[in-house]
Amino acid sequence: MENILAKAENLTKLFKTGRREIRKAVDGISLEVHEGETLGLVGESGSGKSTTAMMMARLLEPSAGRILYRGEDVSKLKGAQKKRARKQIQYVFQDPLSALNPRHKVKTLLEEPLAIFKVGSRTERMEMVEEMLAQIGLSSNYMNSYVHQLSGGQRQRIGIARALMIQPEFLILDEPVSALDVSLQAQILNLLKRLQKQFDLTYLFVSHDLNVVHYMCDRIAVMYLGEIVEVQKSEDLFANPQHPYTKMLLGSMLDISHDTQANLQLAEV
Amino acid sequence: MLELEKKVNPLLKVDELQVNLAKRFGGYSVVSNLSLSIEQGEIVGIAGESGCGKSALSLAILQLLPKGMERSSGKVVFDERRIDELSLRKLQGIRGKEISMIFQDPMTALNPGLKIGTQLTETMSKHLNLSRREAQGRAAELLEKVGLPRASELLNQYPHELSGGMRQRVMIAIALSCQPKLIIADEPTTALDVTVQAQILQLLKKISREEKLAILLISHDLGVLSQMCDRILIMYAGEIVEQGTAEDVLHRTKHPYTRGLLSSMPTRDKKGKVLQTIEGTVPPLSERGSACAFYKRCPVSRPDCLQSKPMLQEGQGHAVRCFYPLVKER
Repeated sequence: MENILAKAENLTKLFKTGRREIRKAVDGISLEVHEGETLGLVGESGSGKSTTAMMMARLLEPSAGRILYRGEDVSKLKGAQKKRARKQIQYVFQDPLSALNPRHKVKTLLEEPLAIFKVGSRTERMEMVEEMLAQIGLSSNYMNSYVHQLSGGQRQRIGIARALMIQPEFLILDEPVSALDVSLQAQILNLLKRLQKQFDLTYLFVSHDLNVVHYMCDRIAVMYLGEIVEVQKSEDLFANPQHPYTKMLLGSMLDISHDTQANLQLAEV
Repeated sequence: MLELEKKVNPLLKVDELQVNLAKRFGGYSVVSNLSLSIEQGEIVGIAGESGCGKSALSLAILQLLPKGMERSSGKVVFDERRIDELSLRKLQGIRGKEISMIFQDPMTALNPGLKIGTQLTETMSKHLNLSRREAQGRAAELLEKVGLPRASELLNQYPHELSGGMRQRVMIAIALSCQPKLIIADEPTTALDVTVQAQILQLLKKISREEKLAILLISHDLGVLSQMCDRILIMYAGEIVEQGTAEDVLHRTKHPYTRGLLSSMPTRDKKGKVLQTIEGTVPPLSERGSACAFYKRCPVSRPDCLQSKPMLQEGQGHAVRCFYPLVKER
């Protein structure tokens, strides 16, 4: 039996959409994340995958249900305790340009998490920043750059580096490569794989791209209308999808196959 | 198939099109000396990374380039007319009627303050001289054609009341409303979910086949293009580097760049392996010179690739802009 790192129990999130209207974005889901694995979370927009991810990272308050991290209920924690719990769980956003402060230099962006958790002296922190830049494949010349001076791929590297600065165990990646061209996407995916090995990370990988999810993940959870409809090992899910929605999703994949243009007919189901 | 007979008069012919940045921005070349042609009813795809000039190319065809970019030379011939020389007024008779566009984001392309019905009939009343009632009737027909039921209700709704997929269908309905001969679709499904994407693409393909509608499909997604296109053009740094049938380009790849794009895709057979990537980045506009633009990133480049720029063979066949094209099948 795998070690369970994080666990969602009956997690629900309601959003008020009007004076009397309430929408259930996430509807009582339960989910286990095993230590060291990459768990994929797929589904269409509005299916609640980002809401789930943000609740897991404690960036959103769940309306009901709880989140266990290493067996401890972290969903009700406040203040200093919440901060401590969050140290282990970090979040990488889809669009680094809006997630990173445009007025800060790279070194400030990467130092900030360390400063918040009062790690080391100023000089020690700068050394750690330089080390991290080397890890993600950027030269220390970029220390004094601003985010807008970097390319899309470099920006996302900074987003990942910032999340890794305080040595978390659990990284929640919300569409981390969706905004990138394929060649850059491949570089970031390779980087994430390498970092995971190197730092023993566990990933929750949110994406709408089934090819990317299949490539990255050990297990995949499929969300539909706020519920998890299926969780399986990646190979099993692709080989033998159970839920009709999963089947439809896989049927919509557009591959480059020799059997040219067969997929589009399949999708008609 | 019928290529040989039709070859004489393509529907759209772009001839040595050159798009530059304005002088005040340095005058750099964005699209350089690019030629392409599209036959009636043909679906042609253009692929490439961001910044390769694929959108600039599509905008230049209809003289829609933003301020700061200009077409400095080249011809655009549509249906045997030079449309690059037309006055704005005459061109407006073609835009939306004979050539229409579908953009990536329907939320910004549709007017949020106008009802769907108004936006749909606007184009028709402008181009087709229909009465209000006729236009309304045809609008309802169009919505049904693009797979939107409850048309009468929908006509009175605003864009924000629709889902992303529905909005894109409305955009397609508007694009189809005057029975164009060519649709330029710039990343039409990039913002959509995969299931909706498949439906929209299917719809476009069906209409193209049924009505002999030609489509110029711009996408960064080779999966989309392989499923949709008769021919594919790969653009790099403002130039076409490889062109041919979808089969040729994707399965008998000749250009190292195309090969690089394909091998960096995380397809299912690559699970557990490290993805091959293309080293480096697209050269900035200011650093594109007289050598092969891909030289710096190319795994098979040789010193003489720097001496001059490789040429792309003319014609409809499988062509590549490379001195040392790949020979082995992928």
